[in-house]
Amino acid sequence: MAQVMNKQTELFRFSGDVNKPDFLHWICHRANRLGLNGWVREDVSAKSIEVLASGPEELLDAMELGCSLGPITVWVEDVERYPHKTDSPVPNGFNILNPVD
Amino acid sequence: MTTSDVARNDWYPVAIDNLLTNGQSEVVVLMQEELTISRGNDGVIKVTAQDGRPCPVAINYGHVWSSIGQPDHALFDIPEAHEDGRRMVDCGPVRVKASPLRVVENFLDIAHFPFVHTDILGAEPHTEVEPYKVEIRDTVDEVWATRVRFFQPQAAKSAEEGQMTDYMYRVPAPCTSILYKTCPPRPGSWDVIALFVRPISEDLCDAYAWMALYDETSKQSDLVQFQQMIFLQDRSILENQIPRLLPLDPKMEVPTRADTTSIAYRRWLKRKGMTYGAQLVAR
Amino acid sequence: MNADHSEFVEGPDGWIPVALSVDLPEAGVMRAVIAGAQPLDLVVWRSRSGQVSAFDNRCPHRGMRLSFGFVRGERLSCIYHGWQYGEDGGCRHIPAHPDMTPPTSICANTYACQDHDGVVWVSKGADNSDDLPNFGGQGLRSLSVERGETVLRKLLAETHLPVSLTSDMQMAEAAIATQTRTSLVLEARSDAKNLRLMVHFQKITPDRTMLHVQTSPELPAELRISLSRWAERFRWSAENLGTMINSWDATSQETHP
Repeated sequence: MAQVMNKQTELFRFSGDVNKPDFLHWICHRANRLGLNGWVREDVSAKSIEVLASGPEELLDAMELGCSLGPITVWVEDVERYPHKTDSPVPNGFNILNPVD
Repeated sequence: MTTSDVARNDWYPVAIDNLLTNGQSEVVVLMQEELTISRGNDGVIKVTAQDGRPCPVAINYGHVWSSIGQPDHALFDIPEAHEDGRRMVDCGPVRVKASPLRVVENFLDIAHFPFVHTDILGAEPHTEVEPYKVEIRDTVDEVWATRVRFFQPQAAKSAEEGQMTDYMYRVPAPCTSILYKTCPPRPGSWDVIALFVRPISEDLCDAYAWMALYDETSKQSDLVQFQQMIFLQDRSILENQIPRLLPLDPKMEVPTRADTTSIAYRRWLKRKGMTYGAQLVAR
Repeated sequence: MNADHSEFVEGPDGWIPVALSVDLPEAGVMRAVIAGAQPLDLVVWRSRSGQVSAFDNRCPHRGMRLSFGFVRGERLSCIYHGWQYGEDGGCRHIPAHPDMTPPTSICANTYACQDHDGVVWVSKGADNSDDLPNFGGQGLRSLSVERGETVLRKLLAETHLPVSLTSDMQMAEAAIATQTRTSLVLEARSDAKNLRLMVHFQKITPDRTMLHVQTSPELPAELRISLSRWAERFRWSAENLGTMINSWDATSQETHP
């Protein structure tokens, strides 16, 4: 890499008509495309999808943007983003975690 | 291939008002349906579908507007069209072998200026797209992009040297895009350039550019020629994007922050159910 | 029409010739189409330093055909938003976000590509260096013919080639010296030593083939000009004989201007 980029980790919450299994795979594909590390999981009770993603800010923006449109089966009404503070670095790769209730 | 009701029941440009003289008629295709636009000797314009049914007519912004369905709303308003001192310029239709939605999306894009309109609307190394604001305004059901800034070596016919130019974009209907940009001779005012698109089929359309400018010096033919040149540069892009329909699922693409307006436009189309000219499943 | 539908269904396999090396100079960009059950639309380009690469003809950003792009140094730039790709397909630069280093995961879909024996070859699979010919040919010209490959091979087997340094019209029977999956070599007795013609086949559709033609090296310029005219006449004959193909012979071709 030509330069070291500032990586940051953020938690995204996509809400709306989003609880579709293909959306999780779609998000995973997008994260891999953007080279982001982290995970995605369904939050059943909150009717939303949680995503933890780590990477340069521009690519986190691209992640939000792509997922805000997503596959034709979902409608993302709202996206929330929070900085995520953690002592341990986010492991490499991007995974689908078990849903939370 | 079904034409969604949203698409059917909207207004589209079918002719340039002042090119249609009394007693004359012309035939155009709107969403695969032939329409006859005729002006009687009394000056009244009628639009008739192939099966003889009368179609709604509106005349505004230099164009005749019609629909193959029944619009439940009036044609959008462009308040600037009523302002004193503006010159209205019709640039005429340009045929594009692409989805009408792609034509509108491209009109909302600034990042291509240095590469497609090189040394006219943009120039390297001024390629960075600063963050700007995009919203779907629910009260009016329109897409707006504001606080857009980009370097332009020749911002308009009346501009002679490079400058940072401010833009706003407004999408009042799926096949219409209106651009507001810094007006060099009148700081504080906006020049208005609109693109009205008539879908002929899902992947073929006629695009009519229309301008409302504060420009008292340029020749009309030069203004038209400038806009035509810009649009023909865009056309070579539009006819070579894969797929020809506008993807409503961006899986095969990599939108970044500079594409925020494009994604907001697609979200708005998706929410409206405007699928005419759109690709639903990414391939 | 005697279309090669069977080959069309089978699709391309192994190396496919897509251009004469001389027609893809440094910083050159071209489109190449390869027939198959799923036809390939490719961009083939050569960097400043001479490296050739082939990608899907579709910018990962917003789908623009990369064959409209331009080469900057060792990178191919998309004409739409200027995204730059290296020879491995990886995105190197996004002009709208100039300070960001794009991740290697943003990349164009690549194909194996090499410049070999005066021809640019593309392969769908990995680097399967199977049966590339070594003819030592010199590029003459590429031409698109509205005919399937099988028909063209058959017509070439019956062709006569110009052989004289002094007369365009003096023809001699040609024989097929070698025939491979991608290419064939014609030989004819000539004023010049070792008059050979190498024809490489690129299927575009079942009924359309691109012929990439090379001659044996160091042929006199006059003969190369005659061979170039012969190629034009060959195309004309192949496209216009229609259903008469079975009765086609070389003498009828000689009477065409």
